[in-house]
Amino acid sequence: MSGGEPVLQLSEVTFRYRVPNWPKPWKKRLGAGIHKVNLEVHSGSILGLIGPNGAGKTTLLHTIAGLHRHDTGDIRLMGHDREMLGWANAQRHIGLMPERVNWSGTSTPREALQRIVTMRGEEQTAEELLKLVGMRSRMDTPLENMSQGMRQRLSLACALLGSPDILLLDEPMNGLDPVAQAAFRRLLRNLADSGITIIVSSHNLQEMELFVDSLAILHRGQMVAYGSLNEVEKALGCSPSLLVAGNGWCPPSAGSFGTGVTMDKIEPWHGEEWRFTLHRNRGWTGDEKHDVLQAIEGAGGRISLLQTVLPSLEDLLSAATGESADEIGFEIASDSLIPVRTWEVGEDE
Amino acid sequence: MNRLEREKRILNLSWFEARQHFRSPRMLALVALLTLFIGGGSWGLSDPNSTVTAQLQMDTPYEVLFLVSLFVLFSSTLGVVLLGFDGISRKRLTGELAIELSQPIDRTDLARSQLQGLWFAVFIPTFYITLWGVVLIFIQMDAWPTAGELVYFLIPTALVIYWYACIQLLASSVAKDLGSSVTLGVGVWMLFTLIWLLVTAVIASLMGVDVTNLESIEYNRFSEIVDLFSPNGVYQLLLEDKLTGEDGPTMDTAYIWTAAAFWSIIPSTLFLARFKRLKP
Repeated sequence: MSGGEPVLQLSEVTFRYRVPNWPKPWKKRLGAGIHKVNLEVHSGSILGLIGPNGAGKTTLLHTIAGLHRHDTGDIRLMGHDREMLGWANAQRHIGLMPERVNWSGTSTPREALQRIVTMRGEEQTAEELLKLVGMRSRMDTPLENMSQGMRQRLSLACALLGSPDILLLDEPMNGLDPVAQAAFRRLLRNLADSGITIIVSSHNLQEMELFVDSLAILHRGQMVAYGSLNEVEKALGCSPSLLVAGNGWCPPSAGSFGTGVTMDKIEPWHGEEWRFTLHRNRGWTGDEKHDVLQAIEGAGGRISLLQTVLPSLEDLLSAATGESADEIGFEIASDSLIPVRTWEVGEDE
Repeated sequence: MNRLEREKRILNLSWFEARQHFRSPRMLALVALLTLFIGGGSWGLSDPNSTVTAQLQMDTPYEVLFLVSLFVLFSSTLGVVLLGFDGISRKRLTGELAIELSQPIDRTDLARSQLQGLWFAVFIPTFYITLWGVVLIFIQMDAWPTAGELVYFLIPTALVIYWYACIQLLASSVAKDLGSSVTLGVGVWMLFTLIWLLVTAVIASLMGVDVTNLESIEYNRFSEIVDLFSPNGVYQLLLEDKLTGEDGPTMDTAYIWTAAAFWSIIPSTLFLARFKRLKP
């Protein structure tokens, strides 16, 4: 791909599941899905797809991967219309790692991967990829005896087959221990640096913040925010807050820290005498954190913790939708798609 | 990719699938079933002192093979259920299906490889155990079936296993969980293997055919027609067609082979169409 042309472009893409309409199951109605999603992802970047359970992350990844045929809108891969590329050509650009694949059976990772190699009609050998994902010593272990971490690695190896331009990873950190997660993040960064575009889904914003270049927040099948973490925070008016804990003198109000600062209620915390959180619309610079430190310690207090806290997914979703955390949490119980920003409900809803 | 390369790829994938079945613990159960039923049937029915049914002579090895086909129907088709009831649903539940469906391979080719893989996995052991059964028949009767008879026995056997493989994978692609996979898989097998006689009798009585005498020519003719709608029935009619005299079916051979052609086309077409629309 040359210049700034996006590797993947989604324009107003909508896909809705067809669900049985009891008591007339043959007469399907439209269920949950994704609604008018717009997205542009450039070569070598990592996009984090984030949202609560049932937000449509997997559906969006499956739609991009061609597993669902979108109802309306356009998907362009490498500058070409997905439909025009043809099935096999389009799929060669894409590697999909589904969520928590529970590889089972008596065959080995080498055989399982070789089978996918055959499906793709590639010349690549399974061994190379298994080494890349750290499974050199487990190539011939029966699948049913593998840990979830090993299964995740095998799924990643499948996604990497044929060196696709776009990697779609659905909750890849699930089942990985912290050490493996760090190694996984490094591997993703290396892959992105080599020009592969990665879209990775998660419901954990803190985890995403460590390695993604941009974020897309999904809720009820709609994209409610998209951009770099800073851009998203700014757009939604949710900036990082400052968590302060310590002993001795405690500031009585936010006024001690200048204008535009608000403070949560003060409470004891993990053996410390007090803890509170400071909020400011534009976040906190290093100098401003230093000023907070000086203001407290200068008055006789002792700070044991001064930490920037990213807004939670709930905060971002609340800011984007204007709903409370409880309302957002309840939404996953429903299979219908209710537009967040617009209220375009079809007759067959 | 040209046609030949595509077929080669499908064959390779089928072998991957079949190998996985061969190594599964279920294969042990299948081989035990086949050995007991086909081997045991061949040995017992070819015993010169045995009398199974007054109507059917067992003077030639083919006649013994024809009766052994009842055991093939019971064991090999059960084997297809055993290996194939969760052929698609398990992959859907484990997430492997999403990986497979996202590969740059035509879905028809992928579906065919699943189908052939299951067919290989059941037909190959059935084939070898049938050959062993023929040896047992020779030991008892001191006579071999002709090569033509053996081939004629194996072709419908291969076909009935193929039909069941299509039906099982179709049922498995509809099932969304393990429970419904088992219910659909075993349910279909029970319908054709155990309940079909009852179905035939009920339809016959509804259509005014005398069902008090199951040996009557009228009922026999009627049941032959109903049997065309069952894979087991068509299998039996195909094999019966080779029998001579009164043991053969009253129906014209063309009808039986036409039904066999339909059973070969319709379930597989339905499965391929279903697979094309499959969602992971």
